[in-house]
Amino acid sequence: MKALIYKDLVTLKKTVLFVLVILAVICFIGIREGAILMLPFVFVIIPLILLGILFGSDAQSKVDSYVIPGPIKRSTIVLSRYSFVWLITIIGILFTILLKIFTKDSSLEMVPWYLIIATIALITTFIATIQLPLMYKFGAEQGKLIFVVLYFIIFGLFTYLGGKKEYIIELMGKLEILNLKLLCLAILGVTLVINAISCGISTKIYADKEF
Amino acid sequence: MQNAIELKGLKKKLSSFELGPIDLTIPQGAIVGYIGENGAGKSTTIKLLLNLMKPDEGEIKIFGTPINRFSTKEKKDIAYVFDDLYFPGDMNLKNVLSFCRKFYKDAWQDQTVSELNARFQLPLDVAIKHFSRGMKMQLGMLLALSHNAKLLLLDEATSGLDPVIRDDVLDLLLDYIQDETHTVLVSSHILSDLEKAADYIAFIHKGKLLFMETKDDLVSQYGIASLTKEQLEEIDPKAIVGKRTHQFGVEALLKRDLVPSSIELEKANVEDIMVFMIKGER
Amino acid sequence: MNIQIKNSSNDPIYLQIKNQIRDAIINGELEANERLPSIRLLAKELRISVITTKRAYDELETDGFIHSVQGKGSFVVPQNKELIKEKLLRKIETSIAEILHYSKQAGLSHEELLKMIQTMEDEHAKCD
Repeated sequence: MKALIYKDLVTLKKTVLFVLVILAVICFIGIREGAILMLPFVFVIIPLILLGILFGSDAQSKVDSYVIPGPIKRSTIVLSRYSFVWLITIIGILFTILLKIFTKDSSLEMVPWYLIIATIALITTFIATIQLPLMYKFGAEQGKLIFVVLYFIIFGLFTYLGGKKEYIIELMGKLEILNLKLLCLAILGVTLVINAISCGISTKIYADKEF
Repeated sequence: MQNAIELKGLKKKLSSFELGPIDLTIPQGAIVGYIGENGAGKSTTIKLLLNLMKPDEGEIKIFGTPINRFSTKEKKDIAYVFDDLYFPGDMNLKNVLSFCRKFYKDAWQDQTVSELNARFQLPLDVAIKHFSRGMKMQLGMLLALSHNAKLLLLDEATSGLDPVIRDDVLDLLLDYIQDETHTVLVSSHILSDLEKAADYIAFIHKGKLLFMETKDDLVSQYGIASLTKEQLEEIDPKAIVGKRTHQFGVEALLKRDLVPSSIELEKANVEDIMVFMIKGER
Repeated sequence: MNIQIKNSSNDPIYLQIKNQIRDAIINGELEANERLPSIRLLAKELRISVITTKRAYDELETDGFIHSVQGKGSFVVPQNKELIKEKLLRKIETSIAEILHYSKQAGLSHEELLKMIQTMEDEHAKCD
C-alpha cells in the first residue's frame, strides 16, 4: 500500500501547484468576505479534485494492469484510495483547529472543537464516499463528469450558506439545547458507517472488474 | 519437477471471440513460444494467468497452486512485461524504481537493477513518457528481472522493436533460464529470432490451441517445397499442410514423412509453419 | 571445446553437437573425467534450445561417451582406446572398399592410386 500512496503522491506533484493556487484564491475570498468558517469546507473540494486527477491518471496509464498481478490484494488497492481521503480529512481537521486557535472569528468561537472535528470528518469524507464507488464503477471519465456537477452544487451551496451567517449562528444557538457531545458522537458514527459501506461497495466493484 | 503452468479446460467468452477450451501444460525450466495471429487469444490467456480477467470455466495453476489461492507474497514469484509500460507517464526511472522497492519489498534486488541498467543505460531523471519503444521495453524487462521471479511472462513485449534490441532480449532470456527453476512464456505474433531459444511452441488460432510441441520436433516434421502445380497434384493430399499458389508455380508446406525423398524440401521455421497452417485453410 | 553449428547442414542441430563432442572425446581433445559445460550454458552460448542440448547429451550418455550426475554436471567417460581403434579400423576398411571400387571404374593403376594417397597426405600435412 505504501507503494500505491507513493505513486499517487508522485502523480499529484505536478498538480499540487494548481491546487495551492485554487486554495489561495478561495482563502483570499474567504478572508475578504469574513466567512472564515467557509475555509475548512474547502477541504471538501480538495478530495474531489485530487481523486478525479488520480483516477484519470490511473485510467490513462493503465497502471492497474501492472499492480493487480503483483504482490497485493485488490482490496488493499481500494483501501489505499480511501486512506488518501482520510489523510486529507486529518489535514483538514488540523488546519481548522489551527484556524480556530489563531483567529478570532466569531462564527468559529461558537462551535466547540469536537463538533468541528466531527463535522469536517463527515463532510470531507462524505463527498468521497459517493465519488469513489461511482468512479470505480463508471471509470474516470464519467466520474469526472459527476465531480464537475457535484462541484457546482457544493459551490452554490456554500455561497448560499456564506450569505446566511446569521441563520447559522441562530442554528447553533438552537443546537446548544441539544447535548452537543451526543451530536458529535452521532456525526462521527454516521461518518464511520458511510465510509465503511462505501469502502465495502468499492471493494466489491473492483474485485469483479476485468482489465 | 512440477509444472510452471497448467491450464485445464480454460474458457473465456469475450464480445469479439471465444477462448478455449484450452489445455496447456508448461514444464518448469523451459522457454515456451506462445504464437498466433493478432486476436487469436494470446493476450487473453496471459490476462487470465495474471488474474486480470476471470475464466468462465476451467482451472489455472501456477507452480501447482490454483491462482486464486495464491498468497500475496507468492505473487512476487511471477513477473510480466507487456507491450507498453503501465506507469504514469510523468514518473521517471527513479520514481518507478522507488515504487517497485516499496511494492516488492524483500524480493526487490537493487543489485540486479544496477547491473541491468549498467547495460541499458536508461536515464534516471527523464519522464518515462519520453522513452522510446525500445527503452520502455528495456525498463519493463529490468523491473521483471529484479524481484526474483520464477515465472516470466512476456506479452507482445518485443513487437515493433529493432533486431538489435530483440537480440538483447534473447540474451536476457537465455541468462534467465540458466537457473533451471525459471520458466519463460513468450507470447507473440512474431517470434523470429526468439524462436532459436524456444524449447516448446504452442500455437493458438481463433481461441483454440492447435498444438504444443517441442520446437525441434515441429521444425523437423515439416519442409517447404517449391513446385509446379502438376508436381503438387502428385503429392498425397494428407502431406499438404498449406499452399500458396502463384503465377509461376506453387509453394507448399509439406509433412516430411508423407513425401517422397525425391522432393526437395527446405527447412521451415516456426513462422512459415504458422502462416501456412492458417492460410492453408482458406 | 569448440562447437560449430551449421544451419545449412542436413543434420539436425542436436546431432551436430553430439558428433562434434564425440569426435573431441575420441581424438583426446576432451580428456577422461573432464567436466562438460552444462546443457543450459551450452544452449545459451550457441543460442539454441535447452531441449536440443539435452538430447545431444542424453544420446552421448546412452552411447557411453559421457556420464551425467544430477546436480554436479556431465563428465567424459574414459574411453576404451582399443575399442575405438577397432571401430575406426572397420570404418577405414569400408572406405577402402569404396575407393577400390571407384578406382577400378576409373581404370586407375595400383601405383597411380598410391600416388594419389601420398599427394593428399602431403596436402593434409601442410594444413595441420
